[in-house]
Amino acid sequence: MWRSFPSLVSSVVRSQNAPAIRFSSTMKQFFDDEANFGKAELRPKNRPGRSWTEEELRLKSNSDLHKLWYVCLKERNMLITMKKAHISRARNMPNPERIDRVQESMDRIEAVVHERNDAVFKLETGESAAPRKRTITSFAGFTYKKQAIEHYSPPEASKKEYETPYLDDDAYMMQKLWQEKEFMKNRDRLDDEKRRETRTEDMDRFKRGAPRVFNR
Amino acid sequence: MTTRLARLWQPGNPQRRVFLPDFWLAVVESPDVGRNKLPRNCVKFEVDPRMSRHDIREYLTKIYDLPVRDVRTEVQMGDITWNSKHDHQYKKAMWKDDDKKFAYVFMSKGFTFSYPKMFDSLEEDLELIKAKQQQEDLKDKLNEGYANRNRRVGRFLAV
Repeated sequence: MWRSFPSLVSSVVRSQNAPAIRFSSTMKQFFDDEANFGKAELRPKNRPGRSWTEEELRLKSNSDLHKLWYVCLKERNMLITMKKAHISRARNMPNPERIDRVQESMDRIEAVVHERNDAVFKLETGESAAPRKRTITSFAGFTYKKQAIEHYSPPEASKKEYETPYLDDDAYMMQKLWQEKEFMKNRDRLDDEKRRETRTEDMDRFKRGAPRVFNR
Repeated sequence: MTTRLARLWQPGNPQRRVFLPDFWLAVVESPDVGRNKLPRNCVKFEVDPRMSRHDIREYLTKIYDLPVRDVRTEVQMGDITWNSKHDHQYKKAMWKDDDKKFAYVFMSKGFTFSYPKMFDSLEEDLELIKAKQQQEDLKDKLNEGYANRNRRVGRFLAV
């Protein structure tokens, strides 16, 4: 699939002494339409509409998505080229939101491809296509998810990381102190919130504190 | 890229293929004169810093169908903002821009490329030109009815 897409014109272009005009037309892909050079904003007809939605992309076949990806890729390269050209002259690019539109479309193509891949994986292997996660306890006692990595050989007994239900002394102490610290931070945050609620506009205006009542 | 994590080994050990590459690549202007001038068959690109020479060659030949002969890359370090530039002993880096990667791609013999002139014809904004024109037009019409500026003084005196 990868090879089949760009091979439409390849045999013609790759011959050694092709005329120069042909090459310049290839390089034109990196630049915007000449009618748009030096414009502050594009004409209403040429302005970007919206990006492709996931619902639309789900209707497309795999090969269509593959082609659309390359169309978006080329468009994004063109827009980045134009953006850099404008920045180097300290000017604003016309309709810079085009870059965002293309990027959104590309993200959605990726999402749709992942969906399909995921469905196939779930059918055939029962596992998701997303990279596997392992649950790990660090030396300080924190338990978190980590992306699994492939290895050529199985790990040594001491090197492998697990989730441990019972922490050793240091990690246990660390967790106790950490929780205490978090608790106190949260308590102070709540206190601050309450104090800010009771504070009135006049106190800010006249730089006065709240009345202090000692014998409550 | 959807195939972000390549397998270490698969049966048959097939070549690693990327179906949805997300590398970007942009043509950059290079000077027409001076020692940084490039030959006509050379194009300067700013590329995604993750790209290697081989990636750039494959990208340009397969996606853009360009007749690539040689690729040379250059990594330019981003500028560092210091808190006090001249205090060499105690200065600290406050910010560093990202590094940039440039590729000088040499194409085959017949290839010529010159960077298009985008801003020559319209060095000023269209709107600015329009506004200036309006100002010019209005100059005579302002206050015309009240202050009789356009009167010709010597008309009846035959000066």
